[in-house]
Amino acid sequence: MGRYVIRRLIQAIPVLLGATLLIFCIVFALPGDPIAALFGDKRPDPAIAEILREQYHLNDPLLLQYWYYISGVLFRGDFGVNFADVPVSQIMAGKFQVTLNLALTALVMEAVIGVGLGLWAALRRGRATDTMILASTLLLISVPTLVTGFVLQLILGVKLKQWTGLDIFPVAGTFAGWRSYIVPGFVLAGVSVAYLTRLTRTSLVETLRADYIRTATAKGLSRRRVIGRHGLRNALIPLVTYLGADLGNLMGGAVITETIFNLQGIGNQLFNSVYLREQPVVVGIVTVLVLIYILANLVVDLLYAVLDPRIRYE
Amino acid sequence: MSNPTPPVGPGLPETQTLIPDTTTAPGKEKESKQGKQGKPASLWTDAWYDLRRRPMFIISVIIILVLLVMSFWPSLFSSIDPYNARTCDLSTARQGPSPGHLFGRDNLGCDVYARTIYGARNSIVIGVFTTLVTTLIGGLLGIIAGFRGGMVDTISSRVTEIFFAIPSILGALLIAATFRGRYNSILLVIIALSVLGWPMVYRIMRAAVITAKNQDFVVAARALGAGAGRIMFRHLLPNSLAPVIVVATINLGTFIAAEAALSFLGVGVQSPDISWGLMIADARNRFLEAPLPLVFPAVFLSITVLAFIMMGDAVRDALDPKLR
Amino acid sequence: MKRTSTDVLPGEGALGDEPLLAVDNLHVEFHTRAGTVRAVNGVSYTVAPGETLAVLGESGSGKSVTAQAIMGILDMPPAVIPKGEIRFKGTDLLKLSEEARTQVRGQRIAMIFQDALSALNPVFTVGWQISEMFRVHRGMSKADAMKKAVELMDRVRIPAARQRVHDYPHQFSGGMRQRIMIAMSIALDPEVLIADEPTTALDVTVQAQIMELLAELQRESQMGLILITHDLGVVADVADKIAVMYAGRIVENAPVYDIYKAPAHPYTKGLLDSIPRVDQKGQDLYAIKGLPPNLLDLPTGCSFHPRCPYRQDNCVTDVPPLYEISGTRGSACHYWREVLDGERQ
Repeated sequence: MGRYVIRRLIQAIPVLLGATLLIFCIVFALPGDPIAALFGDKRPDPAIAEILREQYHLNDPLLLQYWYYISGVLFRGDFGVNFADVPVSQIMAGKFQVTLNLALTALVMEAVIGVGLGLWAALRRGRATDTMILASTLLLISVPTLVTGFVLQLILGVKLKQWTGLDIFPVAGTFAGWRSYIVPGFVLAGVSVAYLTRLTRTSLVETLRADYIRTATAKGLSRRRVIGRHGLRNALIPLVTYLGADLGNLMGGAVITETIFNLQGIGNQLFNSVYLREQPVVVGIVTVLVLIYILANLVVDLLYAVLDPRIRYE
Repeated sequence: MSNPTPPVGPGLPETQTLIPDTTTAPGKEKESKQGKQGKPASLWTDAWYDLRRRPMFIISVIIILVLLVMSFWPSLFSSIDPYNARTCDLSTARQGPSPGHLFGRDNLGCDVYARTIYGARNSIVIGVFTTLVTTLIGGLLGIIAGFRGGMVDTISSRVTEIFFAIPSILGALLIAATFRGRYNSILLVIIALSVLGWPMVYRIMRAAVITAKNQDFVVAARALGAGAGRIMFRHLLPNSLAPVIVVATINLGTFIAAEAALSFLGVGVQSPDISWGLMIADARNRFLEAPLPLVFPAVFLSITVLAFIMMGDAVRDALDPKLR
Repeated sequence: MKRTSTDVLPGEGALGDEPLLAVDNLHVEFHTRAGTVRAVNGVSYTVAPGETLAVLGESGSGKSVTAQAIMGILDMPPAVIPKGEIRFKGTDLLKLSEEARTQVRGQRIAMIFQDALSALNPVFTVGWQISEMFRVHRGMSKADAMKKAVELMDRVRIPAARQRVHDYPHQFSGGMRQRIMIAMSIALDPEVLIADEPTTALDVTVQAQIMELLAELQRESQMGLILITHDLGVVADVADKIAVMYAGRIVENAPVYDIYKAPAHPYTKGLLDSIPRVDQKGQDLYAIKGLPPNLLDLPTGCSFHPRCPYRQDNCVTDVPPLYEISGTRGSACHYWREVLDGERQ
């Protein structure tokens, strides 16, 4: 088990370095001189500009710049400062909180709705319920976030208030505490809910076809126990993998939802920073997202080992 | 992610038991009986026979055909050319539906129906070309990695993991924003979506090739001394194509949705080009008072994405009858 | 938790002439998209306590489907049982409620499957899986049930049972896994044990050990054993009587000695002739001509007629009944006398 963890950690390092380097290259390919941009319309004093360039390592080769950056992040937790000398970590902190809240809300909804619907469909396979659930997953996958976002905002945020006079789901912003996250969370979770529903259904259907399920039945166990103990335990394994890997996707995919519901999360921040050419913030945000992705996958791998003894004793 | 790759040696026929009968499960018996029934049909003819009788498939094909006609000859559907600025009239901004302007007018007084019709082209073009690029790159790398194995496979799989670690919509946003204005905006969207879109195809192709590689006929072809190119393209490719085609069809739908998202965020298709995502972005500020200019492109966008995903779904079900 | 199941079945004890288990004119069909697959077409056999019945046949002959019908583990649908009875101590199992059948399954009639690796649940320890029988059916505590599991593993001669009880199925060898399967099936002292190709997936040397173990367990407990196999070699040493199946029917049944001495059905004869024998070294091995029948579209008359060297015109039109040759022997061949006399056409 210990060796397994260490191996997974070592395997994660090249992914982290590669992904951040890739982003670093893309971001610093941004045309234009950030120092010049900093001074706006004024022409900077060449000497001061040079000092600034030196300070931000802008004259060094790209790879060296990358090394300064990533070593700061990895060894000192230092994400650098933007060109206005505000620490990037300080800029990111609050935004990450918002996006994390959003993504976790979505993840919980996904797990509850997706697994629930998937199990229901699997146990009613081939019947009307199953067909209905499958059809609705198709719809959920196909209608883009852009559309569900506006539609739910209109119906739940605006119309519901007009009809009932109750302000249950706020239209935008995070002023209403956790309630602010319900509708955006659902919008963000939409596609994932559909995929998880299908995955759950497939997984349980395939598991219930396994030989050991027949054995369990032959042991004289009740159908409830056969499915609940012998089936579910095995069917669960791929679901955990999917859910874990999806946390990263949800956080990275939140930008549209954040824009529609005006949530000040990292998606919004990244978007603004791209326009303001704040490369350190852009790279910082993506680096943290990559780190989250890698950590989530690591946790998934460990869970996998816990759930499936065949991997544990590999 | 990290599921250990199964060892990829050729399956040894000697290990098979000498006893002729090894199947006892009634399911298996049944299947083999069915297999002997009728003409020996290939996977594709079987699938085609099955598809023709699926309403989902037929509906999606009809929608896609209409969309294709719409994107090639939009004037067949609309007498108004929305690229001609004179068809807009600011004084009629946000007017509701009227004869000749079925979907009403948008914030600038342009005809929403005509713009929605003309918006199909960019969605289809971006969807189709992004799918082509990602399928070619991912497919080619996947088939090489799966076939060669060893170092080639290890390295390319690690590289793919790197691309998987970057959130795709943010990555595309970053690329599109970085190079905005330097290239044609439609070309840029295709590139931005392709850079992070190919690894999915790579994975599926690689897995399919590894499975196909161990099948007896491929082992036999290698034993007979067939060259690498011949094995890859005559034996492995046709037998690994099914899952790739399914995923490519579904990807086409998601790329169209992604284009709309990028355009909505202002880094995709740029005005004066027309795009559903752009129309949604333009209409959103007055959305609560005049929802129609947002609703119609949204409906078209949803139906388009739905059609492709539905088709991919139907094809997958036809090719893989296991889960029916 | 649950009571022991002694009083579940009505009419028990008044056995009379009724054998322990009797399958009577059983029919099983599968309704598939391609049509109706007639997997079992009127099978009858009986097993007495302490008796071993070998059911012999190639894949698709319906031998496993019959066994699964006895256990009640067929997927219905697509499977349907339009006709027939399965009497256990005089009670027709097919007429029992699902709840009552669950009480029979595993406790009184148990089953061993072919491939123990896939038949055991990969995510639970073998001890957990064996002890589950005691926990669920006997309401034992975890610790007591685990102790029982160790005892059972000892009984099927798994070395170091006390330590290995906490291991997972994939950590055992094929033979050991099959022993665990056997331990699980005999946990509650069933009266009938069905072994569906228990040794097919194993090495030849291990096969012999497993068969020996089964025979020994049967001697100790006097259970009725139904041994399903396609391998005549496995049968000879352990079986008391044999039922040969072809295309969902029993084509010949007889005491084991009789069949080996002189088969009374061309199919049985073909099977026996196709076993390699040392005294025939150098000669060509006999093979039954043709292909197994298509269950979706069975041949008319005798299902075996397209492959039969004894075929006459009426074989194509008339379904042969199971002709009684003696009190313990039957053959479903119009020309069983010729076959028995060894006259090859």
